[in-house]
Amino acid sequence: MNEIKVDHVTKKYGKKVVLNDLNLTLNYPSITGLIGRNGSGKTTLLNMLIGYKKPSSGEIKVFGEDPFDSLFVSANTLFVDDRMQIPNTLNLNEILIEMGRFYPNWDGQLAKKLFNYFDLPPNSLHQNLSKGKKSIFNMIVGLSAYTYFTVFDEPMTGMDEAVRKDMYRALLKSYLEKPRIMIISSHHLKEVEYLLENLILLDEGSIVFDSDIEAFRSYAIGLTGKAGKLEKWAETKDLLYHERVGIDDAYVVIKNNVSQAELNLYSQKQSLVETRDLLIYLTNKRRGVIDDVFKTDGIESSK
Amino acid sequence: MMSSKQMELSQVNKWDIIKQSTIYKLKVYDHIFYSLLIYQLIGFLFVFNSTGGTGMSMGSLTINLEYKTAHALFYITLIWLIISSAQLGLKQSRSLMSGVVTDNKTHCFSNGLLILLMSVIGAVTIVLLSMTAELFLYLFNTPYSTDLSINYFLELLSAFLYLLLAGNLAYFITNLVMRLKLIAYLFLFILFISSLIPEISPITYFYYFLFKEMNIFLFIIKISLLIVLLFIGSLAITRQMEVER
Repeated sequence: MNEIKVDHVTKKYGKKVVLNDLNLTLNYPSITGLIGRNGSGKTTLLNMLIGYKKPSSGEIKVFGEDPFDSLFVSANTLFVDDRMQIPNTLNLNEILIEMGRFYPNWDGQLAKKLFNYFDLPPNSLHQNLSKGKKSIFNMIVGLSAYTYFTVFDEPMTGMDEAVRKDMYRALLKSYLEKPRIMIISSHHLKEVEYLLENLILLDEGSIVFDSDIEAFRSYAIGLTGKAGKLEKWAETKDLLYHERVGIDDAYVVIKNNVSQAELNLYSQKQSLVETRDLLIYLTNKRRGVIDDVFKTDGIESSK
Repeated sequence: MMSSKQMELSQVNKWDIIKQSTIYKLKVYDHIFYSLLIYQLIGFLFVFNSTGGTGMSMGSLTINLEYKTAHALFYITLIWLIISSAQLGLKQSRSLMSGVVTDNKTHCFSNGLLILLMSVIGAVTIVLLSMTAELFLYLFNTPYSTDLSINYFLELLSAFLYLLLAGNLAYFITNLVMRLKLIAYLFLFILFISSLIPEISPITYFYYFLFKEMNIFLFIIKISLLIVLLFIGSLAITRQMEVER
């Protein structure tokens, strides 16, 4: 009843399939990362979970209700992103007061403290803030509302590294204070992964991975060894990536479902794969690399 | 030591949200009421223009009569209300509410309340300004005569009802165009074509049905029904509207 369930959901815009037969469940409490390449369907999925959009087919249940145009779901959810609509006729302080009137769990003290900590000008209009300051303000609203289900879609846009570090810490402390269902969608996977309990990877509208973060970290293994032997063997496994290294060595990434004995036999060195690299390997369908774009007639141009 | 508290889902009362949304929109759209001041100031100046006149002379006696009405004030307030109500029907108005607790129904109801309030304020200020104009005429010793049978209450009521009708019509048409573009354009096209033949034009029929009604009670019933129908239409159109951000 207090969970979020997506059941065979498809979303189409005309003939274009944006999300294809998705199935997932988010339990209370949980903090889930939603990752994927640009255009993979993340924002569309989030818009449907929040109730802004309807699926073309399938069913979504948020706390047992269809979230689309649901007042009950709206009262218990908040979507924080850079497209958050903030009126330009109220100053920041006034907006916080208004938010406090709508959200029953609003923590005005926390909002005020975060406001002062991040040096936001209370009498300023939202439209007059810098990109980073807008994101800071939106995050303050997201953290202070304490809604049962909170979505952060690229919430750190424009923030410098120091501020991002503080914000992640604030997010974690807020979650530990009042555990709830949180989704964080971010391209900065390396920065955000320590916060996450679960991870969902979307690629071209389908779910490629949906499990806990530890399972993602150990999903694949990187192997270095003699090219001929290693590559030939790796091709018989779930090969995710390969490249030549040095004169006759190779580096391959395969799914981590192989015995240690085989790994020792065919490779000289084994290493964990960085999560951000794994994301690329799992979703990279391009042929070649960016360098190829700058090649002319097979010869790299150099001027 | 960090405290950890189990969260409960919050229950929500629809009427509370409608009330909160209306108050929120009053603050967000307060510039609408400031613009009314400017519109009516312009309209007020037009009140001192004559709308008609007559004259006669008998020997050495010459009499010139000028008629002044507050119609300009009413029409300019009407324009203000139509523009403001249409603004509420735009998709941007809905997406502006996406940061707070709302759904399409409460959004529509709170817009309805806002249109009602704008109509009340518009009607009251029209009557007050026309009274002020009479005061000016008296103070500047311009010999004038006023129809003492004018019932200010009737003036206020009719101005309010006309404004409310216009506001709801503007809101309904904007919602229709935003949501069902094809139907809206077809409707307006048919209306335009039929208006070229006054005998069969729905506009002519509507004019006689409403604006030529002599019985005050029938007029109130007719206009109230129209207002309610238009509002229900707006509710129906916006029911399945997705939020564009």
